[in-house]
Amino acid sequence: MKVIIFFMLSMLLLPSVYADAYCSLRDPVSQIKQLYPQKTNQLSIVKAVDNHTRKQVQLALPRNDLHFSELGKHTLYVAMKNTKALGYVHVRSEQSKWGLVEIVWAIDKNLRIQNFACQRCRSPKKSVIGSGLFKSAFIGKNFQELKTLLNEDGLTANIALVDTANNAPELTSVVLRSALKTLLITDLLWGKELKTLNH
Amino acid sequence: MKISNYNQLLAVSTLVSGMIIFATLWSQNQKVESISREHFESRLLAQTVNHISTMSQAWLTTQDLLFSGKQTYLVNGINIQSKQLTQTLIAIKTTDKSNNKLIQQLLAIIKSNKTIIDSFAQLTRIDDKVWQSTITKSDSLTAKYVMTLETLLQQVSVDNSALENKLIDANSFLAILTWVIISLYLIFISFIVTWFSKYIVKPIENITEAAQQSSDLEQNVEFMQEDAPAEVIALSSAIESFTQRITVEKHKADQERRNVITKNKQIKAIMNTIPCSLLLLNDHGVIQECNPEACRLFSKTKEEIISQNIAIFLPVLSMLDGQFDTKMLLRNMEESLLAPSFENPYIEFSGREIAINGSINYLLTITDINERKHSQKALSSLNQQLVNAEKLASIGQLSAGIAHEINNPVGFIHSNLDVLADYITPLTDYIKLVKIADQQEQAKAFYQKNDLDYILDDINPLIESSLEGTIRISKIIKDLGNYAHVDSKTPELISIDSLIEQSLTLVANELKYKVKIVKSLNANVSVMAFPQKLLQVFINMLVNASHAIENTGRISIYSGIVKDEINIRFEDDGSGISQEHLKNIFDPFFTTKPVGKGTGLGLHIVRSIIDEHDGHIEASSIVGQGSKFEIFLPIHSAAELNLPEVITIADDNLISK
Repeated sequence: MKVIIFFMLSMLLLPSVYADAYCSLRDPVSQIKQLYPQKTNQLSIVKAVDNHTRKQVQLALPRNDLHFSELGKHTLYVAMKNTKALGYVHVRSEQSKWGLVEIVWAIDKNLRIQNFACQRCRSPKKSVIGSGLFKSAFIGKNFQELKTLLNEDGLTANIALVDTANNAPELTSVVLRSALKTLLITDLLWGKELKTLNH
Repeated sequence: MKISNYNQLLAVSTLVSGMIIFATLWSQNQKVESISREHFESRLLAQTVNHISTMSQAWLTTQDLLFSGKQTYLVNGINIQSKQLTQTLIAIKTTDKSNNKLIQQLLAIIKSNKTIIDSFAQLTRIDDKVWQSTITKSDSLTAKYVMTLETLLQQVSVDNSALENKLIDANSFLAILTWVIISLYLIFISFIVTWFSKYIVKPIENITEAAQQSSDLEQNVEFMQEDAPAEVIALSSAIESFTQRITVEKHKADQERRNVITKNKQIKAIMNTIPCSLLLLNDHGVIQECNPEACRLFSKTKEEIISQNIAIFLPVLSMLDGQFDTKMLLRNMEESLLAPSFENPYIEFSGREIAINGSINYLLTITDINERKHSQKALSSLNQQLVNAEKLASIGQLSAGIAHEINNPVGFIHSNLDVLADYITPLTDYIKLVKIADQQEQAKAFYQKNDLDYILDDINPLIESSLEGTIRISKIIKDLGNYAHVDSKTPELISIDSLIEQSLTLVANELKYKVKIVKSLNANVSVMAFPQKLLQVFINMLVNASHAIENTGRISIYSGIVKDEINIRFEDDGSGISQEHLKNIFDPFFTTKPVGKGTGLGLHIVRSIIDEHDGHIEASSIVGQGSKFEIFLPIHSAAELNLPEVITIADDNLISK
């Protein structure tokens, strides 16, 4: 009952929420459609990233502090096939030397990377993100598994992952950090709602 | 070739090799410097491009903030960043066309992007579609910008890496080249050193080794070096000849050393056995060296004698002011006395000046003459006894004549006394008669009867004759007494002429029957002499002359002054003396008389007495014509005889007596 009420409220609040908790520069709807072609509808769960979340991220991913602009309201999209949740979509903007890189992350219900797509990136090597080899290094991995791909500095991807990126180490590291933050924040911020939703 | 030529060759080769080394290394170093400059500029370009990349990050992030937050007030900041990027890109100086092309592309993109960004500032109401399309345009441009920038960055990085590798290669090459050159130089030096060692040092070492051998071995050593520089060959030749000369000189020196050692041993033996003391004195009279005889003489050890002043032992060598009397030292065979502390003080010394190592020293010989002195005393005593014996013998010979000479006056004195005794009786009787007054006539008759006038006239001649006889006897006895009397030990002032007269008195009986005496006594001078001894001389002369005259003859006696000497000459016309015997007549125990007639000591004693008076005697003779003896006595006073003053006074007393 509570879940239904929650969903209802979410749906009702969607337009305004949509406008305020825009996590990316672009509208991710088209990307969600590509990631979940079978989806019939979607849910948007808006929650605020506060200092508490920020501290938890600092503990889990040292040296990957959330920027001030990352604080505030954010939206997690739930791809639905009718009433059944297919998965979640989280769009994150990660700072890079080419400015912000926006990646749309498709997350399964077990909080593993299901797929991802680059929505906005100025890097000349952004095509790496779409390559199958590179994607396969991420898909199916949860937070802990992806964390093993991080070097001890907590910022850069290890050589095994870089080898899949066709000599694009920095872009690989940006994508990895984005994936880790996405899974962590999804769990921290929306974990409770998602458990409710899945039940 | 000479060492100097080798040195010139070495200097030139060293100079040339040094120049080659320097030129090569300098050239390579210039290359390295050039590459280093290029690399520096490339690194600077890379840093600039990296800086542009960093600026671009901020620039792009600021645009993203504008796009995401729609905060249009960021436009001005983005434009400022664009301007800075533009200025930085324009400031890049590169000759690479490709890089310049990329830079121009970047500048064009920034310019185009500025138009887009400026369009945001013109938006009055945010239209999402326009916004999104504008972002898309911007993203397209900035993506191209990022790609171009990365291309530029990569290109610059590649260029920089290439230059860095080139610099590393150049440095490596320079290092290798340096090592190769150093190695070649070391090899060259090693070769030169080896060559020098073989052709210059080795021959010198051979010479040195040979020279060291030569110091130990007597055998001939080969110094000659054939395979060596000219100087070394000349040096070896010179050393060879020099060594040969040294060897010869060494043999000479060895021989001389052995001679010196032998001489030293001889000198040492002489020094140790020489029967006189030898002392070496310095110019202050300090004893430097002495022989064992000196130790014996001074009854001291050598250590006690060395460094002592000679005056301690021989006071005569010290002047009144204590200075060393070198004049006295340099006398020859000077008799003297040691210090009073010595029991046997009689010595005789001689000194010589001797230069040792340029300094004046004195060699003093001292002969112990104590034994000789004692012998001399004994001999003198014996001689005196001999003289006395001879004198007594002559007295014996003369005694008969003297007795005869005494008997004559005694005879006529006795005769006179007999006559006078005969005269005394009538005279006393007459005196008695005269004393009686009434018998005057009787007295007168008695006077006439006894011829008292004759008696009275005869008495005086008788008495005078008797007195004369007693005077003659007295003179003979006195002369005999003087003759027989032993001389005092000191000379007396005597008249030679009167002494001759005395001798004539004593030998008068010997001469008067066969000899005519011719006297010419003109000396008329008194001398200091021993009268009895000279009297013995004159008697001997007269007796010998008398004996030389067999029957009758003449003896001439002369005295006079000849050149500060008294000349006394006895000349006879007797049988003479052969030349063979004439040279031996003064020898002791030489006589031509029959055994028992002469002692053979007469003339020997004569000469010893004359010698004692510092005089001399000469004899000449012609067989059959006679002999001549001339005596020369010096005329000297008491002072000249160095007699003590008291003795002179005593003589004066004697004279006064």
